[in-house]
Amino acid sequence: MNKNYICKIVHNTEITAGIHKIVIEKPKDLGKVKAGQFFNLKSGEEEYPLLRRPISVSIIDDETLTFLINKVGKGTMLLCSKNKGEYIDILGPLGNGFNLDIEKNNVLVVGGGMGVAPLLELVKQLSLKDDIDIKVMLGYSDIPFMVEDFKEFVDDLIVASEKKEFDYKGYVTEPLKQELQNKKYDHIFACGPKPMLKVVKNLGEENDIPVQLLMEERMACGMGACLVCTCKVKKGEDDWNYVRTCKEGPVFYGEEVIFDE
Amino acid sequence: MSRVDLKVDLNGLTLKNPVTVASGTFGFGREFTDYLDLNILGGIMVKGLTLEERKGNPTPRVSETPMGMINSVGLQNPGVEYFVKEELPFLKQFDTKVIVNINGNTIEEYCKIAEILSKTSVDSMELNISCPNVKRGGVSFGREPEMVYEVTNKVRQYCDKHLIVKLSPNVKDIKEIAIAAEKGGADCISLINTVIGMAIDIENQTTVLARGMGGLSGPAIKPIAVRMVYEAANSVSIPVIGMGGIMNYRDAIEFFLAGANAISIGTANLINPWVAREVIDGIKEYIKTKGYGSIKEIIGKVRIPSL
Repeated sequence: MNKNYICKIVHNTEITAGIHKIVIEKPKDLGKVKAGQFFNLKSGEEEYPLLRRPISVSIIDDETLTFLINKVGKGTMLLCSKNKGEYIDILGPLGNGFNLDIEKNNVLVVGGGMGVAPLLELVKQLSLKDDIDIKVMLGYSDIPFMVEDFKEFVDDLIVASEKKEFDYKGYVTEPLKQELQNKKYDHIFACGPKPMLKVVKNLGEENDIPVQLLMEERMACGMGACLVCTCKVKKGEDDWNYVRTCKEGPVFYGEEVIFDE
Repeated sequence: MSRVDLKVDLNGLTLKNPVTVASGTFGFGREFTDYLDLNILGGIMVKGLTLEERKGNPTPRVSETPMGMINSVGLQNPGVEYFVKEELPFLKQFDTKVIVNINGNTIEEYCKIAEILSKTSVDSMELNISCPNVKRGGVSFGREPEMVYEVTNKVRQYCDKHLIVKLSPNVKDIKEIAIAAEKGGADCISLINTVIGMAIDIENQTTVLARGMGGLSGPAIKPIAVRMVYEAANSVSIPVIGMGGIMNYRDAIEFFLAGANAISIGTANLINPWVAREVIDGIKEYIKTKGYGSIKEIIGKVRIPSL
């Protein structure tokens, strides 16, 4: 099965300082794409920047795929500078998405910073389930983004920011602790910076709630060949192993992941 | 359409075409079947194996640098026995040569792996004396000609297959190293492995890689690789597999002209997993356009204008 496509950009806007929303035409023969999966995007025309940029899919529509790209370096800068009508060379879908085959339906979705992006499709998918109760908690270092997009699918949403007063001032993990004391949840989904994911994992274990974490790691090939994007996971009772974030992940259960200090 | 003969003989290992994929950039081949028909490849150098399973180095293991990347995987691999049982049967389904990259902490470990693999259906072994990312062994065997001779010579006694010795560029004089491998009994040499490099994050004032240094690959090292292949090919009479930053057929042709009998694509596989197909087609076209009938006619053809 081919996984390489050249896709036309239908939309590119800077939604907040340094973050672009890029919408591309979805290839007709693209297989099913799951929430939490990613694509490896070629940013340069020639050999600089050399590597592709792994970007999680943010929204999957019938005709399009939407990515949120944070301009952090040369590659993401080039991707964001592409105009509507231009093309992007993509490889994917790659990795495993979230497991949405969950039995009980009190669900908490926690996002931090750019980590909110892949949670949008997840929340969309979850909202289509029957008898589901979803609460979304989004944390930002400064100005929130994508909040309105989430509100299309859920009513129960709180926004935390470290700098400005929204629903909560500080890390999103603080209101999360409160919430877990107030209500019994059946499942937590999270994506964000490692320190946040570590807290979410620990809270999940303390409260006996399964947690699915969408992990981020520096990648090269994105398809499982080069072994640079490893994630440390438990192996049996007292052993551990490095597995590929791109192939065995990027979604892991919290109980598997070992966060080193 | 005129036929182009791409077949090369590497002193006991015949490749149907001179394009192989480099160890560590192609896993055990499985991941690539979505993008490439493995049957078209001259050979596959599989991910470096050790006697026992290795977990590898902590992350970050990669840093992108201008026209290249530095990696420090640390030979993460499931061990030679697992490979023989679980991966080799898969690879043998394809009409391509299976070349196994072997590594050890001690000469005895290299010999043991060679002995194990000699009893299997692998086509060739690539003795890796040039991995920069493990504490012991690896590059330390590849640095001095005496050591290269000794390890090659010992492994030769246990290796009943075609034997390639993979050379490190992190040496004083590549010519002496190449000669030592030949004298030690190598059927063929391959070069270059990665160039030791380092990248620093100036915000955190730490190295980008968890282990500090790593191996630089990609177009950034290609001119070094071409020079070393040229020097090595002119020092030995055994065949040479050239590699280092090959992104397209034009890069590959440079290596043939410098004296390589075959080439290996490395980092480029990580960006365009089907790149080997384009390189094979490009080489064929070049040979034809230049009016040759076979790849052999361009090997070592380079002229230095002032000489």
